[in-house]
Order: sequence, then C-alpha cells, then structure tokens
Amino acid sequence: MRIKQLEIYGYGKWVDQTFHLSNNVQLFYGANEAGKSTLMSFIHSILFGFPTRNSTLLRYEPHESSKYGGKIIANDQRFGQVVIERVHGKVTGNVTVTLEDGSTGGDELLDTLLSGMTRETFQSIFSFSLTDIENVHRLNKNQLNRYLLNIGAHGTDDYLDLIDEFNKEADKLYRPTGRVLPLNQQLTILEKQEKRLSDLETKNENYLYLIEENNRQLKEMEQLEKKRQQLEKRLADVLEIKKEWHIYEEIKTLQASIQKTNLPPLKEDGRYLFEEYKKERSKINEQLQEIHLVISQQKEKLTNPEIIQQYEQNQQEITELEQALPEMMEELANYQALSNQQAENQKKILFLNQQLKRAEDETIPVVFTEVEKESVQEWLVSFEQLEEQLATLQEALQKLENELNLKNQQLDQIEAVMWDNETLKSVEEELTEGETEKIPEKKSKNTYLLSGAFSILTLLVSIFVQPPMQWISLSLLLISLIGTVYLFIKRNEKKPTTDQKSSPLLVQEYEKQSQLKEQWRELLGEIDSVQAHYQEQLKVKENYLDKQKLIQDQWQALLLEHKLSGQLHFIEAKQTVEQCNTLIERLHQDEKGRKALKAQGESLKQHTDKISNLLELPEELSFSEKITRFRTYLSKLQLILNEEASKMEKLSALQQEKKQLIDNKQNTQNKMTTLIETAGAKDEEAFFDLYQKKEVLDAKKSRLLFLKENTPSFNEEKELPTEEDLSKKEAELREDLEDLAEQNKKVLKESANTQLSIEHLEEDGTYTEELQIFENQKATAQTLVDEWVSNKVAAGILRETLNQVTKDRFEEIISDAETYFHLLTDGEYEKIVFKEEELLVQHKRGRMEDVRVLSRGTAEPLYVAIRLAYIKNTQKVMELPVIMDDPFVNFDSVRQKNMYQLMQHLGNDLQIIYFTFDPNVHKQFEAEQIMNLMES
Amino acid sequence: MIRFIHAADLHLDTPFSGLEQTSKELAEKLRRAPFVSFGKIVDLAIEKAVDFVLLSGDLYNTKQVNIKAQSLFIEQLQRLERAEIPVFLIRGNHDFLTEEMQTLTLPFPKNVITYGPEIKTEIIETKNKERIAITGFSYDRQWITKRKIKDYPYRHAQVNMHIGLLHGEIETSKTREANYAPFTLNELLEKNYDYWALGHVHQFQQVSKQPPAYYSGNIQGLHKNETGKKGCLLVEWSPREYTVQFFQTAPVIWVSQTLDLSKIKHLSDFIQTLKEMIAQKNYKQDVLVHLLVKTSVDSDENLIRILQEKEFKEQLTKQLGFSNVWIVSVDLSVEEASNHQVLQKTYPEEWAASLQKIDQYGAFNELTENIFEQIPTKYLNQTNSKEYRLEMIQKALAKLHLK
Repeated sequence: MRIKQLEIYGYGKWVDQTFHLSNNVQLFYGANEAGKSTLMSFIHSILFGFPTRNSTLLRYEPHESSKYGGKIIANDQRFGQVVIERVHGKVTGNVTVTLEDGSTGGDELLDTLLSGMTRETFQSIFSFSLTDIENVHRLNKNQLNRYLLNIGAHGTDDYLDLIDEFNKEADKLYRPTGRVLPLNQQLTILEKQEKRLSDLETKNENYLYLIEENNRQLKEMEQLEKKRQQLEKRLADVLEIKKEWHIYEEIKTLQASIQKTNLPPLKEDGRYLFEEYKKERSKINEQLQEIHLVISQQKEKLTNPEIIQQYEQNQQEITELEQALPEMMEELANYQALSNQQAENQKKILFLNQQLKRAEDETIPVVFTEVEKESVQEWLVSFEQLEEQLATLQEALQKLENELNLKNQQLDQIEAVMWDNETLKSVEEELTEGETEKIPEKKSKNTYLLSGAFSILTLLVSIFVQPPMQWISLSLLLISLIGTVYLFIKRNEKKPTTDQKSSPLLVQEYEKQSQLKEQWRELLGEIDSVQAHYQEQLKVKENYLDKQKLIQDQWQALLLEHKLSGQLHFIEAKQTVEQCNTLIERLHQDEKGRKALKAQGESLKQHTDKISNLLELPEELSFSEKITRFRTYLSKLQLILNEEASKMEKLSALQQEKKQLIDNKQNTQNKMTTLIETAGAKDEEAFFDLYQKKEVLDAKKSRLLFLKENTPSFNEEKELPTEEDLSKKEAELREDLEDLAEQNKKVLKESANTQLSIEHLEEDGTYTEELQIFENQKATAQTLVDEWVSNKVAAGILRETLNQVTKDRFEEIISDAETYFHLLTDGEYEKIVFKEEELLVQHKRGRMEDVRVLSRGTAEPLYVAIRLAYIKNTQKVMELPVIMDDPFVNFDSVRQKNMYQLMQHLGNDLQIIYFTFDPNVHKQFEAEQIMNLMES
Repeated sequence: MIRFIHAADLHLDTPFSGLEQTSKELAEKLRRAPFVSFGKIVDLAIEKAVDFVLLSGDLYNTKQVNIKAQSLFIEQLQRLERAEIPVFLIRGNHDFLTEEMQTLTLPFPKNVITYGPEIKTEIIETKNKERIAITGFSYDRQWITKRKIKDYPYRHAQVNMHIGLLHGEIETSKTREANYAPFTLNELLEKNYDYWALGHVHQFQQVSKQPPAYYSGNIQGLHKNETGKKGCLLVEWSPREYTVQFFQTAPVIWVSQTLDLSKIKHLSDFIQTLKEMIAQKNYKQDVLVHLLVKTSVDSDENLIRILQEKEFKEQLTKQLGFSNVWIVSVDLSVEEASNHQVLQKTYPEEWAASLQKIDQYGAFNELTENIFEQIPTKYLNQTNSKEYRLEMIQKALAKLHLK
C-alpha cells in the first residue's frame, strides 16, 4: 500500500497534525529535533504497534496531550483506500483498520494488509539508515557475499540470523564429536546402561543352567531315596525273618504233621448234625412219653371203656364193616328185593296156576310160539268179529223187532183213531171247498224267541251303558223277560185251543184222517219189509254161530298140545296164552331168582357173619336183622363216640401225633444212620472218633494259616535260612544304608546351594528395573534428538524456502540491481553476475570482480542497488513504502546525485519516504515533493 | 455355549517407553503393570470358569530373557492349571523361539498347549462335551514373510467349533512391509473357521463380524500412542450367535489431554483448568498423561516458555496433586492462523515446496547431518520414518511460529 496521509492525534511533539503524502517520492525535510525520527516512529508504530515498555524504542507519548496515536490513510491494491488507526489501549495500542468497502478489522486485518510483516522484518527490508550503509563495511568479505546474496534474494539477512539461531540451538545439544553436550552425554549413558543390561542377561542365562542343575540334583535325590527305600525294605524283611524264625519252625512242623494225617473226607458239619439228630431223637422220645401219658389220661376220661375198648380192638374191622355198610345195605336191599320178587313171583305163579287150572307139580306147559299166538289172535279176532257181527245182527234183529212192534203199535194207534174207509171218503168230498191257513201257529212258536233275543240285547246294553240310560235298558230287559216267559207259556197253550175250532175243524179232521190212512198203508208196507229182513238176518246169525264153534274146537286142540287144561275157555284164549307164557317165564324167573337170592345171601352172609362174630349174634338171625343190629350197634357206638367225640378227637389227634412222632423218630434215626454210614464209621462211637480226629486236624490247619498270614515274610518255596545267614545279611544291608545316607547328604547340600542361587536370582528384579531405566534414557535421548532435529529442520525449512525463492526470483532482481548499480556507479559497472553462490560484478571494461575485492565506494552502491532491486521486485507481494532516514549523507556528491536520480526513477515503482536534512535535495527534487518540518 | 478368553501381546517384561524420568514409586507401578493386567485376566478366566484361554503371541521379549517375568507368567499359568483351564499359546515376533533357544525357557505347566513353527491343530473336549479344534503356529524368527495363512487347514468337520490362532498383520492397501505372517481378510474367511484369535496389533479391533475375528490388543499400553482401554476379550460362542466383551485389565492407562491456551493467562489458571479436566474424568487406574497445549497468537510468552521447560512435567504433576495421575510429556502446538512467519506469508509456494522437500528421506538426512546414522537405533525410539519426519516438521514449524 501506498501511504497517502498521516493523521497524528498525539505522537511526540506532533499533536493533531496531518501530513499528506502526495507523491511517490515524499521527502520530509527538517533539522534535528524537527521531528523526523518522531514521524518515522509514528509510521512504524501505527503499522506495527506502539513499542512495549520493555523495548528500547521510544513510545513518544506526548506530554501535553492525553491523545496518543493517530491514523494512516493508504491506498492498497487489494482493498482500496484503507485507514489504519491506532490509539491507546493495550500496550501496543488498539488498532482499527477500515477498508474502502466499510468493513473494519483489528490486528488480524492489519497483519493481512502488511503481509505478515513484523516491525523488525519491515525495518530490515524497507528501512534504509546510515547505520545500514555503514554496516556493509563491518562484514568481512565472505560474509558480504552471502549477505548481498541474501539481501538480494530475500531483502534481508534476518532470516539467516534466524537460521543461525536454530543451528546454534541444535549445536548446543549435540555435536558428532562432542562429549559434554547433552545428547552426547546421554548417548554415553545409554552405552553404559546397555552394558549393564547385557551383564544382567548373562546372569539370566545362568539362571536356566541353575534350574537344570537343580532338577538334576532333585532327580538324583529321588533315586537315592528309592534305593534307600528298597534297602530298608530288604532289611526289614531280614529282621522279620529273624524275629519269626521260630514261627517258621512251627509252620514247618505243622505242615509235616498235616501232611501225614490221613482222614477220609468228612462232611463238615457231620458231627454237629449227628449231635443235633441225637438231641432231636431224645426230644422225640420225651415227647412220645408225654404223649403216651396224655393218651392214657385221655382214655381214662372216656365213659364206655369196654365198648371203646372193643371199638379199639376191633376198630379196623368195625371201620371196615362200617365202610361196607352201604354195600351191605345195598346187598340187603337187593336180597330183599330179590326175596320179594321171588315171593311175588311165587304168588303170580300160584295165581297163574289157578288160572290155568294147574297143580304145582304138573309138567310145565309148552310155550306158545308166535305163530301160534298169531293163530289164536286170528281166531279171537274172527270170533270177536263174529261176536260183533252177531251183536250187530242181534241189534239189527232187535231193532227190526222193535220196529215191527212199533209199527204194529202205530198201526194199532192209527187203527184206533182211524176212520174207516167210508167215512173218510164222505168227508173228503165235504172238504174240497175250503182251505185254511195254519201259518200263524208256526209264527206263535217263534215269538217267544224274538222276545228272548230282545231281552238278551237289553241285558248287553244295560251292561255297557251308564245311568240314567242304564235304568232305561234294565226296565226294558225286565219287560222283555216277562214277555218271553208269557209267550213261552202261551205257546204251549196254543195247541189245545186249535182243536176246538168248528168247520175249519172238520176240514182239519179230514186232513188228518187222510193222512192217517196214508200212514196206515205205509206202515203195513213197512212191516212187511221189516219182517222179511228179519228173517234174513236170522240166517246170518246161524252162520256166525257155526263159525264160532269151529274156532272153539281148534282152541281145545291147542290146549291139549300145550298140556293145558281143556277147561280153559276160548274166550279167555288170549289170556290163557299169555298166562301160559308168563307162567313159563315166571317159572324160569323163579329159578333164576332163587339162584340170585342164594348168591346174594352168601355175599351178605360174609358180612353178616363178621357182624355175628363181632356182636356175638345168634346165627339164626336174618341178614336184615343182623345188619340192623350192626347198625344199631354202630349208632350206639356213634352215640358213644359222639359223646366221646371231642375226647376221641383229641385222642385221635394224639394218636396221630404219636404216630407222627414215631415217624419222625424213625426219620431221625435214619438220618443218623446215614451220617454214620457216609462217614464210613461202623457205629456211633467210631463216628465220633473220626470227627474228633478231624477237629484236631482243623485246629492244626488254622493255626498254620494264622501263622502264615501273620508272617508274611515266610516263603513257601524258600529254604529256611539259618540264623547265622540271617545275621550276616542284616549286617550287609545296614552297611549299604549308611553309604546311601552319606550320598544323600552330599547331594542335599549341593541342591541347597543351587536353590539358594536360584532364589537369589529370582528375587532380583533388577533386570526389569534396569530395562525401564534404559527405556527412560532412550526417551530422554529421543527428546534431545527431537529437539536437535526440529531445530535443524526449522533452519532447514527457512533455508530451503529461501533457496526456492532464490531460484525463482533472483534473476530478475539481479537484472534490476544491475541497472541501478550501473546508474549509481556512473556506468562503471555493467553487470552483476551470480554464479555458484558467488556474486560477481563486471566492470565496464569487462573484468569480473569478486565482491570481496570491491572498495567501499563500490560496495555501498552495490548494496543499495541490490536492496532496492529486491524491494522493487517484491512490491507485488509486499507493497510497502521504503523509509529512508538520511542514509546517504556520506556519499560524495556524484554518488548522491546518482542516488537521488535513482530514487526519482524508482518512484514509478515504489513509494519512498525520505527523511533528510541534506540541502542538496532541493536541487534534485521538486518542491511539492518536499515537506518542510519546522523546528518547534 | 463355549466360553473363552482371548488375549494377546502381553509384553510382560517390556518397559514403558517415552518416559524420561520416573519416580521410584511410579517406576515400581509401571514395572508391575503388565503382570497386574495379566493377573486380572487370569482372575477373569477363573471367575467366569471359561473353557480355555487363548494367548495370541508376543507374551514377552525373548531377546531379553527375563527370568522374573517368565516365572511370574508361569505362576499365573499354574493358577489356571489348578482351575483346570487349558491354555493355548502361540509365540509372536517378539517372543519367538529358535531351535537353540528352546532350552532357555522355563517349562510351562501341563495345562498349557504350545504350538511350534509348524502349523498344527489341537482338538479338545470341554466339560460340556463340546469338541473344539484350535489351529495355530509360533514364530521361530523375528520376521515371517511367508503367507502362513495358506497352510492353515480348512474347518475340521467333526468339531463344534474351530478357532484359528494367528499372530500377524492384516494386509490393507496401506501396508508397506509384509513381515509379520501377512494375510488378507479373504484368506481368513476362506478357512471357514468360527473364530479368529489374532495378535500383533496393539489396538482392540474387530476385523470381521461373521465369523468373528478380533485383535484383542495388548493388555497394557506402553507408549503414549497406546491410549485407551487395554485388556482382553471374553467370548461366549454358540453356533447361532456370539458375544464378545472387552474387559479392561490394565492398571495403567495412557491418556492424551488437550488444553487450549487461548483462555488461559496465568499458570495458576492453567493448573486449575487441567485439574478440573482430570478430576472430571474420575480415573480409577493410574494415568500417564500426554499433555497437548494449543497455543495461539495471544498466548502469554512467559507461559509458553514455562511450558517448554524441562522440569515442568514433574512440577505440574506435583501441583495437580492426584495420586494416580502423572504428566509425562508436554507438547505445544500452534494454530495455523497464528503464524508469524513472514517468509511463509511472503513466499507461500516456496515455503510449501520446501516442506515437501524436507519431508523426503534423503533431504531430511542431509538436513540432519545423518544423525540417525551416527546414533545407534537401539538408543532411540524413533527413526527416520515418514511419521517421524512429519512430526519433526511440525515441531520445527511450532518453533518457527513461536519465534
């Protein structure tokens, strides 16, 4: 930006003062104390802030006025007209920047406006003072080159200083060859620590070896221990054997003895069983005795001892008989049945004999064969038929007779009443005139029937109908019944009255007589026929009778054949035949029956004989009787027995028990015998003897077992060592054990040592701590390195940037510088050359001169030329005015003139504010370019 | 349901880096921190009665064979043995075992199943009769460039669950070196396992959701970049669903705390503000704070100077008065807008160009006069890496801006 106006509120001597900078090259002319420095300071202050109180620069706070600060109005290519106002506020003042568009800002906007320029940088680039010029000399030749280069490139060598600062900082920390510098020292520390760590590591490796060693020792100890245990065991065995030596002897003896003993195999508990049985047997005996006692007691209780006794004595037989009783009864029944049958048969025979008119001892008739029977049957049938026919015939005859009689009677009757023929005839002629009806008579017969029917009907109705209807029907019923009876009586009376009629009577009589005549005639005829018939029938009857006689004759013959009495009538032929046959049958049966009876009797006799014996019955008694007696006896017995029933029961039970006991005893006895036999003994004594022997043997065996069990050291196979042998063995083992103990002690000691070393190492946490320390040291080293590096990098960034810049712009700058230099040196020098970091100037005559060899008079213009060339070339980036504070006072007039010329020339490109007291300026510059500052 | 713990990168005896000085008290806490963390992991395993524990490598630094560390580790393994919990353990690039070195380690208890350099699959049966196959391998050298993932077998057919153990770096587009058994996500998924227990990356990270593949992260942050929660994973897996729970076990955590200097005029304000910020967080663990101070144009110069003093950290820690908080580093940053650098303003393109140039390895080296070749790398934490160069440039810029 180009400053247009300075408005001072209060700064140093300036109060409420405004300065217009109208030109590109603006001179402020004034003597010392005119306020040039103040103005310069004002410009710097407004742009970059009031100097802080610590600073060496003056603040120019006015004494008279409280107002302090002011504003600068400038034209900026970017923002147009800008106003920068700075007044009191914070230490550096409060700045307000106002842009053309009205927007305002503070420090930040100002910073942008100034392209981040600081007071120092600005001054170093844009300010020209006498000191700067003079400084050129102070640089040594080498520095100059660089210095110029840098100025040319960057406008200032401040950056170099900055770079140097960073490098110095870095160098404070570390140098490759250094020793006491922090980083160098730290590296040494690290080295030391590293060594320490590796020492510790070796220790660690040791550790593992120690572990291995310890393991080995432990193993060794284990083995020693094992050996020891083995030896101990063997020693114990030997001692055992010693101790038990006599026991072994005993064992051996027992074994021998057992070997010798020879016993048959005995059932293990045989003896015990035998004893048991024996006990049982005596027990049973006791029981038997008891039972006997009880039985006899019981018997005494009985009341009918003899019978009982008899019963007892013959109990079996009685029982048998009793059992056979039904059989007997049956047989008896049979016998009696047979007897009866026989008797019956006899009776029948007798009867038949009577019927057949036979004597008992006559020859037996002959049986009627079937054929004969049939014949007889035929005869009988025929006879019967004939008889029937005869009967019929007789009937018929009778009938005929009756009929005859009847008819004769009728005839008589009729003749009695009958008119003779003449009378009849005469009447007949009389009556041909009239006819009468005789119908109503018939009717009257039936009337009472109707009435009867009606009464029945009313009866039915009255049953099925309710009162009062019922009353009606019942009264009707009554009426009808009365009617019926009346009519019935009237019916019978009607007939007689008929006979008393007059002329109709005659007619009637005639009719009747006619009829009678007819009837008489008929009857006569009929009598005749009947008579004839009758005679016929008589003849037939004769026939029949003859036939019958024949048959009877045949019958008589047959009777004879069959040795039967002829007195047997034919009429009873059938019966006779039957009877005959039956008789024969019965006679047979009789025979059979007798046999059967006999047999049965014998059978029965067997039983009854027994009964007789038993009861001492007379022989003569009948079976039945005997049996009955027996039964009586039985029942009596039963009674008695019943009486004694419970007692009997008990007795019986006792008897049973007794029997059982006897059985048991027998059983037991058998078992005992079996045992004895099984054991191979001949008797009980031998048996016990055997068992005794066995006991002894068992005792020996168990003793042997016991000894063996409690003497584990005894070995069957082994030979029993002698006592001396044992002692020797013992001594040997003891010696070995001692050796082993020694060994163990040694190893134990070794192991303890190893363990101690291990523990020591384990406890030692040093290694980890040292690792951490090492790590920490590394961190410190890293920090130092970082610090060193960042410093270097900072320097590097600057340098690199500068280098880049140099590359880009230097050409142009040199070109301009050349021009200016040419001007300033009056054309003596034509070129400035930059080659390989070296700056060279070319004399118009062509020679190249190294900057180092330049005279002061040449070096200074070169310096100025380069600086101005830089400023000019960076106006695009940094459009700021050059502020010159009378730097060229020591230039000679020619140089000065050239300088002023250059300044004018430069006015085209940049703003120069020139504070001076050189009167020569009036010559060179226009009046309007010069602002006079009056001394106040 | 199968339940197990997945932990990795125990780095049991590895010291904390980036701390310049530590008080004896702090030093002790730090030394014990990884062990305490692992102890807590074992506590968790026992409390939850897990079926087994997976350790995916970098258990400690074999190069610095530390017996104490090993024996403490084994103590914890024995605890698991008593609780009848098997442990499946692979070695990573820090705790690799060459053949010769096999003898230099203490023997593990019987419940620990280790894997050799050859890939193998172990099959176990849990108390619930579930069969699980676990495939993995151990590093036998520091770098493995071979794609070991290719040799992993496909999912076992007759098991309820197949788990893969792998200590290595997943390849992304940004990967430069493939020195740690590199693999891609697809290569993992191809094997069709049910769970991948990954190790090597120190940050808890989900690599795949279905099937689940996780880096459990290390169990204790050892560096100011390892901020955040550190611990292990408790996985509960069923064929249809699973849950992965992160459990914090680290007793010491790193925290990055930013403080804006713009409102603060005095040191007392500074301390007070910081105190409040820390109190609010209510830290239960021991905290190592990396303090980042944002300065601005108006920041008090004196204050800035104090902040840059060497002893400031210790003083500040004392002043804050928290028994569990230590300020271990203070970095100043400068806002972009408030740069005073004329040169940058004047020549922005050249400035940017110079920054770019310096960012290069060669230029940087020149600039730094090959310091990295003069100082053994084992003495330093950082080398001439891109990140480092950028960091240094930032630092330099801060210096320039604050000048």
